[in-house]
Amino acid sequence: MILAQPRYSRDSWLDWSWVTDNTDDIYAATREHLVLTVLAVGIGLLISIPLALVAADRRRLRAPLLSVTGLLYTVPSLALLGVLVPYTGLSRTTALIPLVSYTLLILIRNIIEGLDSVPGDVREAAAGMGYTRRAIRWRIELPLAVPAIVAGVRIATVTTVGLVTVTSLIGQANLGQLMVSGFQRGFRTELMVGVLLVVIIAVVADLVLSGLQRFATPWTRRRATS
Amino acid sequence: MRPTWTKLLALLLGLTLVAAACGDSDSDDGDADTEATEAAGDDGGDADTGVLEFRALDAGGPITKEALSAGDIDVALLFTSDADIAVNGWVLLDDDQGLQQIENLTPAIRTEVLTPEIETVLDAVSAPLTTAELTELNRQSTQDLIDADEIAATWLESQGIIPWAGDPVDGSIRVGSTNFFEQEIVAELYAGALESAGMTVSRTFQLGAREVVAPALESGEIDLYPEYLGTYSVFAGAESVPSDAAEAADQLRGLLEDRGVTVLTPAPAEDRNGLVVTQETADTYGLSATSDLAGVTDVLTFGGPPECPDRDFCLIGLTEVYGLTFQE
Amino acid sequence: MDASAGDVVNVISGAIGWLTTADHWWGNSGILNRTLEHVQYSLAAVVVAVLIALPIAIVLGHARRFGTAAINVGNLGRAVPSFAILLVAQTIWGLDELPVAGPITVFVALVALGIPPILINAYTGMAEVPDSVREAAAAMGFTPLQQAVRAELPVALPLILAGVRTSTVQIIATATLGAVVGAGGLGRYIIDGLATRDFDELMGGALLIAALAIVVEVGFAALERTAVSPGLRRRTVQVAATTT
Repeated sequence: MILAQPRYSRDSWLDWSWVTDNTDDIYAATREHLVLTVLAVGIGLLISIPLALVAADRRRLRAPLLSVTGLLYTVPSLALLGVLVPYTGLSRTTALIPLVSYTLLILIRNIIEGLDSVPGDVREAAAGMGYTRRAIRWRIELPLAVPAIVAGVRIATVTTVGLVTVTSLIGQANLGQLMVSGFQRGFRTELMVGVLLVVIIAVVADLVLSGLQRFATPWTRRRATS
Repeated sequence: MRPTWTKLLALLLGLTLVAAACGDSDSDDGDADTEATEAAGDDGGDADTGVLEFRALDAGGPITKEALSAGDIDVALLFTSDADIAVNGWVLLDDDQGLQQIENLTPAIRTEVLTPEIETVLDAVSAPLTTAELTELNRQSTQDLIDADEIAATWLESQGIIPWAGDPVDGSIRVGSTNFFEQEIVAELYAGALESAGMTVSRTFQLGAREVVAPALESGEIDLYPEYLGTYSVFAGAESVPSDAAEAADQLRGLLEDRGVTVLTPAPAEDRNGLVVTQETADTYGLSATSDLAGVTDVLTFGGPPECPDRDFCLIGLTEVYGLTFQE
Repeated sequence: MDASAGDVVNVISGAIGWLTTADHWWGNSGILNRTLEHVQYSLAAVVVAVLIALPIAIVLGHARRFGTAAINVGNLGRAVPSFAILLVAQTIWGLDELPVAGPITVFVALVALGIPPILINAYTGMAEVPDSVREAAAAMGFTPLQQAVRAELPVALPLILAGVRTSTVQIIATATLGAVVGAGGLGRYIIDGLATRDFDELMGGALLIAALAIVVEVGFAALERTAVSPGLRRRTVQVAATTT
């Protein structure tokens, strides 16, 4: 069949008729995107918390730990994916490896800073009151470190939402795929919808987590610095 | 806190790199930026003509096409079934020396999954698929902005392939495609037909490049995807590709035997690499075939995929077969 | 196919082999030229990002106004992935280039990436300058401009430098994307390596980018030590990075 003109506008950046016609696909891509983000940050947290706890106590370990994770950070995700695919295939696992690695630096750094930020006199007072080292760690330091940890999760989440788009290049059916497909065909609406949804998800996640941060720390009136 | 370790690391890397720069040079193979100075073919042509400057862009994709439109490049390597060529009024240079190999659309499938019934369905899809038909399907995607599944469904119906009237086929199958709209359309053709025949089809599309999707087929992550006869043959290790599709397919089957993969009957439709110029460029230099480039005195800019310098169909072939010279 | 320690060693030694081949260093596509291009794109983007973000942050921070707005704009900026900006910008500008800065597409994406850390950190640094310092400056007869620049700015310097540092490292890591749209820079080795399945080139390129980022980090650490008054050195809150 030959149409007299394109079904959707080629010049408009957002042709709503395409959006309404494709809500199913858009919804599926969004869900995939969210799943990957949550998995990446979740796994990142599971790995970072123990690592940070260990490094918090051993100053010597900090520098190498932060250096290695920092180094991982600078390796462009595209390169990492390219190297991994022959080994781990086209799975979600392959996509998750760089995503999780990139959250590690942010989370570890923030958790350590959080633990460090507990004032020395508070620790002394607790020791004076008979708290053991472990008790101090778990009942005083960690709770007081929560704002920094949540701040870290916030940043990690926003970053990850963006990074997930790159995994579309190995077939992950998320919003990145809308972007790439739209770009390939010169279809601005498809590209724009992908981009806008990614931004919206990131912003909403940021707002929700900052609300969580405020909720979890009623004693801090300070504006978060990150 | 951090500085000591990072400083050491940086120093170490710095020393390594400095040492490298002063080290012995290796005789290296296939260095991407060596000038292809051999102008094969002693037809007495000047070294001054037929010189092109190469720019690495994307493989016949939006960046290359945009560059051609905007005049950033004079000659572009595109794909012959791309509807945008005709829509933009561009000129496809004739491959008069026969450099490009045949590139029929051929289903690549895992031998384990293949049954005669599946083959029947896929042959039914391939048979009526000509280059003209394929180009029109592409046009619907990039110009009319219709989605691949709809384009596929409409075509299958119009050809009477669906609803499938032959023997039903059971089982499930996973269809894949690379991240190229034409691939997605043809994969949808396969998928739609097999679905109509009764199979449960799952789709994994937009998988990077052949280097991603071919191993996925071999390792069993997908069962079926559309391939291009010539390029796939070379990828599988062929030294040369016969110009008859049936012969080429036989050769390919032999090469793929121990990988657990095979190819079915090729469709008539082909999608080759082609050199494309704007109408203006064609008029200015009198270009209608690739050989004409050898006589151009101005240095033209040629945009192609990053792997072009390593490819026979690209820089290497253009140098050896057409006597063109490339510079950076 | 399963990975093994042997494979990892192979990948690294392959990359080192590629890096230590003298041929790879010279010429248009050589490491030296590509590094120069990469530095050009990055530097141009950092300079412009600073020129845009710093004055705004200083003015707002000094006045302690619109802080939430500034921080929110910064966060919003971080929410947009560079990859997305690149694709959109490519649709608008194609391959048009700017002198030094490289393709407009890449430049826009990098500047957009670089602004948030500077904006957030500089604002926070300025706004959190202790009241005592401000009052002392006012008492000494400084005009508001002098207060901001001569009294508050030096105190805010650690945070500002930390912001510029984060920004620069992010930009260096992301300038890789330039190669996706046909530009030069070290990203070329990654894109070309991916295209030709030359993993030595790919890893070599990745290592070079990482090395460049590390050198810059170290450079900034040294800069912070010399430029920041000793009494202020404790504060180096890092606003963390975003790369693609």
